[in-house]
Amino acid sequence: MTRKLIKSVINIENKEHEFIGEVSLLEQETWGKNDTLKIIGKEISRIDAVDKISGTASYTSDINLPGQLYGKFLRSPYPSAKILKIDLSKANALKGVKHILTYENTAKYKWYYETSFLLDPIVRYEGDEVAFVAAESEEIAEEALKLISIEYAKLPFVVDTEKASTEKNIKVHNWGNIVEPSEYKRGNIETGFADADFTIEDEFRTSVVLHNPTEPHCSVVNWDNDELVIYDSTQAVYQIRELAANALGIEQEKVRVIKKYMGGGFGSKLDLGKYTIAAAIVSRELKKPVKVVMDRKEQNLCVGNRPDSIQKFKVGIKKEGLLTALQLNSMGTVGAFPEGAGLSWPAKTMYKCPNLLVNEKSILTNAGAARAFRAPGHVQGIFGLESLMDECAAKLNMNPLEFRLKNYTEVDPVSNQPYTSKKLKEAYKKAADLIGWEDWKAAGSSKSVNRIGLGMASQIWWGGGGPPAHANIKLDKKGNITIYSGTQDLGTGTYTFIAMVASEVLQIPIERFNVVIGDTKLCPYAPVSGGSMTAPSVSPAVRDAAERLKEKLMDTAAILFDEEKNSIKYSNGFCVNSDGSKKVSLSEIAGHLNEQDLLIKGSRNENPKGYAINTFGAQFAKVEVDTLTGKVTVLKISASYDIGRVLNKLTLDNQIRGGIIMGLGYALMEERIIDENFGKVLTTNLHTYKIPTMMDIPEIVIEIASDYDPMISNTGVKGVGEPAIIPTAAAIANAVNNALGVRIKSLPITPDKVLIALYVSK
Amino acid sequence: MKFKSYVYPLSLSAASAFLANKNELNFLNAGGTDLLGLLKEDIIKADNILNLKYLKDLKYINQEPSGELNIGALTSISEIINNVFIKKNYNVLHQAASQIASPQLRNIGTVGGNLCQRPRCNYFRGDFNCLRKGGDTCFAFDGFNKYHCIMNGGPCFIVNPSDLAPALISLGAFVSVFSNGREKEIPLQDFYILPSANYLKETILEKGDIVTKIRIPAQPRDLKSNYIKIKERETWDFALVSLAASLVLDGKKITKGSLVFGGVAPAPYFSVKGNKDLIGLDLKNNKAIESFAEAFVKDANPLSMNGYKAIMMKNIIIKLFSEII
Ligand SMILES: Cc1cc2nc3c(=O)[nH]c(=O)nc-3n(C[C@@H](O)[C@@H](O)[C@H](O)COP(=O)(O)OP(=O)(O)OC[C@H]3O[C@@H](n4cnc5c(N)ncnc54)[C@H](O)[C@@H]3O)c2cc1C
Ligand code: SF4
Repeated sequence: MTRKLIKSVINIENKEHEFIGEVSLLEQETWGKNDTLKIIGKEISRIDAVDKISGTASYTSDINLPGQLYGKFLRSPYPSAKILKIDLSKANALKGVKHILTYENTAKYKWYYETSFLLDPIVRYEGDEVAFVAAESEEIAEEALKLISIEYAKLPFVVDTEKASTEKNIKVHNWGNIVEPSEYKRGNIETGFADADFTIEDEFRTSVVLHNPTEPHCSVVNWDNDELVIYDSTQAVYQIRELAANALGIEQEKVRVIKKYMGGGFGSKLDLGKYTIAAAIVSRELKKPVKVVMDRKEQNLCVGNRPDSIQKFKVGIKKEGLLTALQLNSMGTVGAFPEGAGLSWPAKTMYKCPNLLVNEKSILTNAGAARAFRAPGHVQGIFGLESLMDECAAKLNMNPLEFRLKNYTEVDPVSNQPYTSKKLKEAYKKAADLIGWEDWKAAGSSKSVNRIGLGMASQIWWGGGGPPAHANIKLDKKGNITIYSGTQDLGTGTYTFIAMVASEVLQIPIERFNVVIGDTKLCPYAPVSGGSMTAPSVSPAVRDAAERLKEKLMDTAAILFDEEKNSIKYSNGFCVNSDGSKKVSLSEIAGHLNEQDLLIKGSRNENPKGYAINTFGAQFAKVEVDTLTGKVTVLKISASYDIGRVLNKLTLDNQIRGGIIMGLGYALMEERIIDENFGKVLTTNLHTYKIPTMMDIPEIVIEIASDYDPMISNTGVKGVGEPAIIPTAAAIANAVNNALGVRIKSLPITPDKVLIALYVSK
Repeated sequence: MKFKSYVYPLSLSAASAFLANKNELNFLNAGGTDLLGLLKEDIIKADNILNLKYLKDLKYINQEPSGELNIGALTSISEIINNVFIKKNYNVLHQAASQIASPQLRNIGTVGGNLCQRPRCNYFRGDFNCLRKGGDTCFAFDGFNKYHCIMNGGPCFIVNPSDLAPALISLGAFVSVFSNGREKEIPLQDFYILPSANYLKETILEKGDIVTKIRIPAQPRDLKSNYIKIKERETWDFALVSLAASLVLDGKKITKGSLVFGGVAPAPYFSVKGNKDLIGLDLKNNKAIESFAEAFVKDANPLSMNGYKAIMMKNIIIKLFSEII
């Protein structure tokens, strides 16, 4: 028996999912250190690089099908309103307009966990979908939107998180404004505080931020008889297949989702878009393909965001630096529809603290709904927690790193299970050395105009991946090898690592592999690309498949040589017999087999039971603050991680750099701004919604602290996509405090806040 | 974005006449970095667009024997940055130009367009029918006004977004306007108008008027000038507060000079009294500088979210003085 079915639970993007799936038994030993490997861990250029750089790569928005129509949504200009009357006559009369969907002529497709519909007569945020126009060109569709006349009855609205949390009269849904209040207890918080020598209370806030991937959300859909083909810019082909099938009430097997290349998602492309389903409905009706591409304004209004947060902490500490109690009350807005704004996992799991009490609330407001955003909850949570830990260290006149080491935990404090691996101490050391932590001085030591500060923050996340995840490997009679897996490449390098893993096993150049992913019809199931689980889930399945193929090749060679199988040696794409007199290449074997039986399935193994699987890391920041202008300049960030094995050093560094840059934006400039009087978003383009530019990016140095995780899989890989962003804002905020001796407790740390803190609040 | 025609006039007078047409809304497109955004976002509606591209005699930087400098309105921001004479002698202009927008926008954006660009107020740029767009309310007043003015505001509270304008005004520049078939020259500081005079436009330009050139009079040999721009990110960002200074020093004492602010008022901001008080200021005397800077922000009248600009305004003076010596 090489496979079995299991029932298991996996945490994806802060949510637990239970599943039954087939796994491979862990038959191959985990690889040794990368220096014993030929290709894994090296800096390997993406196999799709030429395609992308030359412009031949086809992204979803590049896809055009013959006779296609273009879809556009009419969106509510108001944050809360009831649609009284719809007049489509002028729009329908426009030449080239083919169809218009409104709630009046469209079935009630349930949306947002059944709290609303695809088209709902009540609109709950600026940008909520009101009508969908399909026309012969995008320009005509846009023109038609202006010709639709809607009569609205404006309703009261609330966009402020705190206000919404206590608001009695204005309700986003008739059942209220609070989703999923939750409580977590550990030990006894009262005794914890009683044991403490000091207690500190403080409050930290973060802003709503937007994903803004380079490539907008888009779909091109077509019905091929009764099969719905969806080209979608998605992080989850299989999940979109399931959600689209459910939404339309058809069999999943009748839906094919394809995504080849993508320009980023960051979590915002894990969900099914209303545009996809609206397009599918029109396409089915008119028997024509329909293409929908969001514009930048829609990107900023309607396709998700990271909730804001208000984090109230109380912490108890002993003189010698041990945490005795930690209390957290937090809330954040999830926009107009139920989602989660929880952020307490870092508080629960980062440090050894016996007594904990956490209360969290997710608040509805009349704004665009939240979606998973690169390490949901942790980015906010680590900012609050790690700012607080710095305050604790300062209270004790202790070096912040020393304080953290005092509270280091070797077991997961929630489950009490040991970790499969934890090299956070090593990561602290490396990142500290890289930034020059020995120069750290107590906050506010500098009195000059331009003040330098050093700060640090820790990181924890899941990211161990898991089953079910499969990869098929196919050898054709010419010896070409194709690997199929229902995963996807978000621009992170999935294509490349799949070829690298197979290349490592079969000892032939990566150019010999075709990688086919992001197609539910061709590829076996693999999980969503979220939760940093792509590489840790898929790489073991690919290795499993490649190892099994190698076995098959050796079996075949044994028959060809008429020898015992265990006398056959495999090396660099050849099978050699016992005395070395006979040698047959992989291609020759393939020729003999004539494509029989050489479609081989590989699967991810089950995760070890009784262990917690986490990624760990730390970032250290060096900043300069101009006390005259209030401007914070980040000079350098050092980062070190335990993320198991490095598959590809180039794409790994890309991920970490990208995460740090995104985290820097979160720390210093990104913020969705809503006018409170009208409930309308004022930052709907990339000029007003400020993301970092090249010139904002500091020197970034990265060193990995881990070799591989010895227990989780045959590759020992953990994920890095999300860990990369988690500690950045906290490290920068701590460095700013270190420079100024004044703490800015709300993100982003913009010059106005620094000046007010320095000159007014003091 | 829809319009009837896109025209290339072959003479200034033809262009001016076309723009002056009373029955149509016709707009001049120079680099288009601002205009196209306004059209695309439906902030303005145009019947026709006119492009001056073929009027080659509006694109030049001429250094006259007298020492004065003439710059054609269609000169790109990048050309200003790359001009060696400007770099060497008019640091304030070089610095201001270098900090505008992004390289791509600077390559195509023009000097004329920069001086005539429309305000960046979020409400003006969004779908709010505010005062400046013909409506009857200023939404910034009790709304999001972090980036708005602290001086000379009301009933509209925009700030002038141009980086070139403060730099040029500090150099005492003049602007030439082609109007009704004639060219007239006025000091650039008189080119801008305050909302209290007219909140529907930002400059004195009337329908059909075209900015043709900027003239910077000859400057003292020992001119010291600089431009500091405080922004939230390093590039591609408008000024929170900026300061242009063109000074002449005798040792550490200012003998002549002018300070002009961006980001604090609906027009580039300078104070006649302040510029007078500059004379004799000793840049080694921190106390004197402090009280000089203090006096500058005395008139500040912040809104709910922009009080920080008063601190910034004071500090930017101190910063500039400390960097210029
Ligand atoms: C993202 C972004 C960032 C920016 N950042 C900055 C910045 O940091 N600092 C800054 O100063 N500017 C900034 N700008 C504004 C930028 O548009 C100007 O700097 C540029 O110089 C405008 O020149 P243009 O030729 O493109 O103007 P256009 O868009 O062609 O014209 C702008 C306006 O001026 C009028 N106009 C143009 N030329 C004349 C003329 N000769 N006579 C009369 N009217 C005329 C036009 O009709 C139009 O109304 C930014 C713009 C964008 C889009
Ligand atoms: S400041 Fe001026 S442009 Fe802005 S909303 Fe008020 S009136 Fe309109």
